[in-house]
Amino acid sequence: MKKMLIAMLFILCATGTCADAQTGDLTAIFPDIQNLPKYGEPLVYSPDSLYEYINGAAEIYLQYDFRELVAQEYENADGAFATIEIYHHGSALNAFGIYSQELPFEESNFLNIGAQGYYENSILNFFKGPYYVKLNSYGLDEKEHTILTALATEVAGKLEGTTELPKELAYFPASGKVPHSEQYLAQDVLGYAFLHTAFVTKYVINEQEFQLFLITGDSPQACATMLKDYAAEVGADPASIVEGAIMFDDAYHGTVELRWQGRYVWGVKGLEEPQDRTNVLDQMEKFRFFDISRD
Amino acid sequence: MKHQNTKNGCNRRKFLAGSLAGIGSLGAIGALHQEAAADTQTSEADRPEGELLYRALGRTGLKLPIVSMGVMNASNPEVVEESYKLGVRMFDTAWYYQRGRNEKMLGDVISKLGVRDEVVIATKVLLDMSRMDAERGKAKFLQQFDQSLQRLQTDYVDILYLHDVDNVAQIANPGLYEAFTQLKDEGKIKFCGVSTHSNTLAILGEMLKKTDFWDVALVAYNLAMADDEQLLAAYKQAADAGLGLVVMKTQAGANWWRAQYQSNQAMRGQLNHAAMLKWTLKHPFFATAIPGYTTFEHMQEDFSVAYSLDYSPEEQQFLNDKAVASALGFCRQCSRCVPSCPQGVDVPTLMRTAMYAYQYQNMEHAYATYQTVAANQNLSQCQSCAICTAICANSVPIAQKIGALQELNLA
Repeated sequence: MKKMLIAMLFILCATGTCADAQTGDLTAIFPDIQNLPKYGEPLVYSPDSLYEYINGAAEIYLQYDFRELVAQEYENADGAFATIEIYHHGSALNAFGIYSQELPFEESNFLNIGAQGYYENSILNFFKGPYYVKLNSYGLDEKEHTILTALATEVAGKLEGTTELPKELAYFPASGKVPHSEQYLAQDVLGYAFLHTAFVTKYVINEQEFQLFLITGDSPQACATMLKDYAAEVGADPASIVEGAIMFDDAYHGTVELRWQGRYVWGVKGLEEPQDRTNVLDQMEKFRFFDISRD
Repeated sequence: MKHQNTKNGCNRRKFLAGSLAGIGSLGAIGALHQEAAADTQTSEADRPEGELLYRALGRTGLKLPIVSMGVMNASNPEVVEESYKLGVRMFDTAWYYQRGRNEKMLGDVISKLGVRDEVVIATKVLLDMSRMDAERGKAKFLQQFDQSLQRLQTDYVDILYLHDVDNVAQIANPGLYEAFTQLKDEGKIKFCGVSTHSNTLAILGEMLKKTDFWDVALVAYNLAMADDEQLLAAYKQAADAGLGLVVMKTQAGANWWRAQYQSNQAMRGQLNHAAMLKWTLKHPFFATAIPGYTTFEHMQEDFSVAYSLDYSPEEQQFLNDKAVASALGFCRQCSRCVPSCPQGVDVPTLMRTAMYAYQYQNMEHAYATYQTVAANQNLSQCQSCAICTAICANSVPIAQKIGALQELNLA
């Protein structure tokens, strides 16, 4: 994004009504704001041109099936300005994925906007359905939080899509989980190109940091392929990979213990004690996600 | 919906570099900082086998392995950590990447390893300072950089860039110079620079007016830009003036290539990214490259280039491959396509226009080139045809490029 912006806006529709959002015309979402007029026409970017707007950062957006960005800038005579950016990522899962890539790593003010959002340092981001929405503001001082929240709420109300978090997040045990550490990785899971489509979550128990992950393959065969490639990578015999418990001695990650059933692979890395690994994997297994047929 | 008009009145596209895989081997890792006294100007050809290739970064006094790491897309700290162990000594990130998580990840790894004094950290402030007065610009700049320091868990960075500059107005704000100067005086940065992907000639030209101020430029270059002699000359001039050049986008547009040609069996093939990285680094005025790899495999392949720029037979074959040239869209200007166009369109010049617009990201040059086309031979004639039937003997996708040009406001 070329312009780092300022000033926030309160949402008032000039005519008293704003067009409801249509999936095909996101520009209708942007409201008129009192004392902060729109600056220029809406900006529209495709997968080919997203780089134009956010340069190298575009690459990671493209990993999450980025379809289109529509953005509107606002600026007033005092030089205050702001931006609303709406990224269309094709699915609620991918919207969560890119949202999770940019979550704050410190405690922030998480908000019940869309499926989830947060406010931090003149920024308010949220996701809803296939949309990842980013608002930047500057200059409203003590009113900034209130106004950003109101604006985000209005924009969220106009966007179509689910407000549910991915159901897979519920399959991670609560005990020891680092709040808001869940991410969905579309590719390069654990630093391997052959591992993809995984939820990963950080944990701290008894000062031990470790990570749980849940790979959701399109099919059992997809999981088999991933695991066999992983086996080959770590020098294990791919032919030995069958459903059930699997343990790899990974040169980069240490001992990685996994379990595979159907189109799900769940695993842990960072725990040295075998019993500790068994315990956390057993806890995941209690959710019986592998018994649930695919929607 | 409307597309954003650029400052030049034309839409632009940019293609991202990808990264690739390979195998490297460990070798001796030398000092980062050039010895002040002894002149150790050993040519790269005389360097003992198995040792890393180092180059000086302009006047900074830094000597870096010729392959560094562009951290921006990496999500796995283990890849960053292994990169250091492999021999990477410069890590490039930015305030904007992953909204700070990228800097935080890098900071975590460097802190964990305890190697802050052994690495060069480069980060970037993203602000359009052309839209701010000096006071506000400086304040915002310093505020953003302060956040970067906290995320990186350090009290200084080695190189700080103003991110993504494509307009000289962005580096005209006095507040920018005040901010950089203050940060240097405070010891929070060692060197300052600009990162730029487009309008590079103008940006470099502006930087060269202040060679006593600017230390480093992060610029783009790759095989697809091979014919841009003007750009090459500018890079050489900048390097000769003492500006350190770090090069990015060295493995030209992998995603773009796949998207454009995936359905065209005649043009399918694999880009050899090590070959492309070597090709770029064979230009000695680039001190180091920052491929943005994200996997261990790509890390190994990219860093293997730091040991040798000699092409393997496979890499040489790749570079010589006609299909590769076609996939990268090189028009040879042979004009054999002309008879195949029923409208008499000046296809070769339109292909050059597309090259400037999409491969070189130089819209000024693209526009100027298009103006040389006669009215009865330009894109207006293409509207007569439902489907472009011009055929290239070298398999350049003429129809595709004509379609891409039609999206631009070149008239």
